[in-house]
Amino acid sequence: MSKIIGIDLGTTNSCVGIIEEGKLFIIPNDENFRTTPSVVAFTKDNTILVGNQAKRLQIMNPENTIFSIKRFMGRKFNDKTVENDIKLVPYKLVPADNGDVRIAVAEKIFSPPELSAMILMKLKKDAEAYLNEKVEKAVITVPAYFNDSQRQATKDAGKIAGLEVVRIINEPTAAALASGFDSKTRMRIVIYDLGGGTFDVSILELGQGIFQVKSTSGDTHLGGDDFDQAIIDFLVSEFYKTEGIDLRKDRVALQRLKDAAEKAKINLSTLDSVEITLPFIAVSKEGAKHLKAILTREKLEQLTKHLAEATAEPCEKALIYAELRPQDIDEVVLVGGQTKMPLIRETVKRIFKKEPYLGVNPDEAVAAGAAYQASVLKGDIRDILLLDVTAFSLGIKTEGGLFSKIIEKNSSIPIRKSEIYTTTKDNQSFVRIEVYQGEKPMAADNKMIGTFDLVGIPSAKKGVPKIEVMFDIDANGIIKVSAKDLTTQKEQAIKITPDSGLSGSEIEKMSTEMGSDFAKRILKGQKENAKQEYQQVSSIDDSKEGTIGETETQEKKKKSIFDIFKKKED
Amino acid sequence: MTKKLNYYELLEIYPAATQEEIENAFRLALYKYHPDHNPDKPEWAHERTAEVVEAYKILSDPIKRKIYNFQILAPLKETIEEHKFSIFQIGEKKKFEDALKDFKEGVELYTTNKANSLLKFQQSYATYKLHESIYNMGVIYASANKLQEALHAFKEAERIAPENNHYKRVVERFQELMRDIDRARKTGY
Repeated sequence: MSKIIGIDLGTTNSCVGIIEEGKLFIIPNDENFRTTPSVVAFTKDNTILVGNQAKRLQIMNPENTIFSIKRFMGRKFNDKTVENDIKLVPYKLVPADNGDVRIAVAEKIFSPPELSAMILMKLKKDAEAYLNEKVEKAVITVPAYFNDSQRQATKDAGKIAGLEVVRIINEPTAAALASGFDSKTRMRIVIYDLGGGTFDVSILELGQGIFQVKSTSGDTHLGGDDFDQAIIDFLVSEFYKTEGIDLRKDRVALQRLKDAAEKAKINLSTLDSVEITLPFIAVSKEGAKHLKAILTREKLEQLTKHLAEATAEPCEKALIYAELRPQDIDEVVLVGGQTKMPLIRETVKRIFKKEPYLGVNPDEAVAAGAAYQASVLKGDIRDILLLDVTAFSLGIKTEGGLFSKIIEKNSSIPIRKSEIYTTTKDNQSFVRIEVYQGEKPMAADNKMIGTFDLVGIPSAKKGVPKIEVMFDIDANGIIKVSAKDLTTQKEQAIKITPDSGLSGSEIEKMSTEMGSDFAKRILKGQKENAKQEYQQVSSIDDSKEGTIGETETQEKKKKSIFDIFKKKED
Repeated sequence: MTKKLNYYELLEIYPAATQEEIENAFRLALYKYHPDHNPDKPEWAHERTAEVVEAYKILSDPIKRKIYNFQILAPLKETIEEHKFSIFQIGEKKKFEDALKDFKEGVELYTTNKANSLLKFQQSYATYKLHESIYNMGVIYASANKLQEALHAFKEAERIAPENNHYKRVVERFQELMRDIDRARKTGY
């Protein structure tokens, strides 16, 4: 049987893992890093760069460098969250015919799954190089709070990249699998997952190899990016106060600020203060202006306190749904890069009245969990089983616009449940089934995820026909809805057709393109740009940009690029 | 089609199983049926796992389990015993047939519309004193968690047909159930 890799397709960074002969391996990328930035760049010479290379060039080429694409997966252009995010990204978003988000870059229009597929393809290639064989199957993780269309979009991305997505699992659940707790003993753990773009919290009960999720909650728009943004806002307003120049209008300056903010934030997890230096950030009549600022940990905590506090409510909700108190929790596991921040650790300690468990690598735990699940599906591991829950209530719209719940949120999946409905008019020959997800009593206040008609109902008085609506959620968390007319005993089951996303033929076309044209362009990017890039990176370093106390990673980067450069020369 | 198993049969445990035995059986059943462990028959695995999950949800909650236990003991009556009427009792026969019609409609409606089903049984009972009808009313009240009304109905059924041992047993078990639930609620189980 062919190998199955586990992929953590993150908002800011992605990571790949595999279990071989019972041992976990995190697969390094072609530059020997254990995580790969989820960044895709289109350069002027028609090449596509993915990962570290793309991220390094981001400063020169902000409009054509796509990051945080995960925020737009399976979303509509007119979503409120999208409206906000447009302001935060330098690349251009446009609506598709069906209202989905599209990205206009390099004179082409791309769907979010296509761009995610480019990241996946790069990860796949690196895995193939590492394993020395073809990889065609993967388990991919998504935030627990991803809805049906976001999950579908993730599956589509896999397909376009030439990967069969054998399972979609939730990130916090994956992290639990990787936590390494002895599964013989029964215990309750909390996974607190604060990543680049999303916050998820899940409560699980472990015992005899079964990882049963009790409840899950979170915020799809709370993550490390928001912490960076808080720092950027601070720097921009300080600069405006002293120089009277608004840096917000300059995309290159903003990109440099973002890089510096992220580095400062990371360094402030270990240092008490950092100096941020951005020379030539702006030009005025008097000449070039430089940004120089000291950021202390105290100031950072003051700037981001509200963000850390915002994680408390989902945690409390998760406890309520699981019917547990903080003292019932045995361990709190921290996942996601942002949890390295001391302020977050203090917040977690306050919420759960317990020191958090630091035994897992917050950057790699999710990929490791995906790898374990891959091994279970391959049949190699037989003593682990995941039982996840659905993060939303699901139901249909009934008379008067009311939302009739069929599946309650936090129900274990797989699940199959049905309810019986009837017609509201005499001789009604069809019913329209509108499927919604959410918790509000009125359907219109929830999110519609699909609609279909059940036709051919025999003439009858209102209230007489019996229509069974069945909801089915599989282990991937993907929903199928069918309706059946019970009066005629004639089965008319219809699968739901989502009103968003890509069609089968679109995916096929993209997949073929990706297999030939894009593959060549990505490959071209990897080979040809190694040299050019080295020069660019060293020039950036020469300008002494960035923060103090970061030498190690920068050194490492330089070294590995140098290696490639040398290899090529050979 | 195979007969739908009750939750105890599905988890392969005795109805008197302890909470710990239920937990263990649930885990074993998951290993046996979960789609992850049955890649060759995903549809079957999905259906079975969904059932196992539902069974565990009910049986692991003491109050839900008690009510479920009672429902296994007292299913809805779907047939009515034949009555013989002499030639001089045409009016009675008509009344019985009307009651029978309502009874059947009530059974028909049971799965889809409990409120209308209950109404039909009430009509049936009012037309002709059928103990089956009033017993069914009790079942519906019990499933709707209206325990006082249910008990009243079962006692009435027992009063009309004292020779029926099933009613006697149901009344006894139902009183027991009410006491258990009362106690569980007080101690906060």
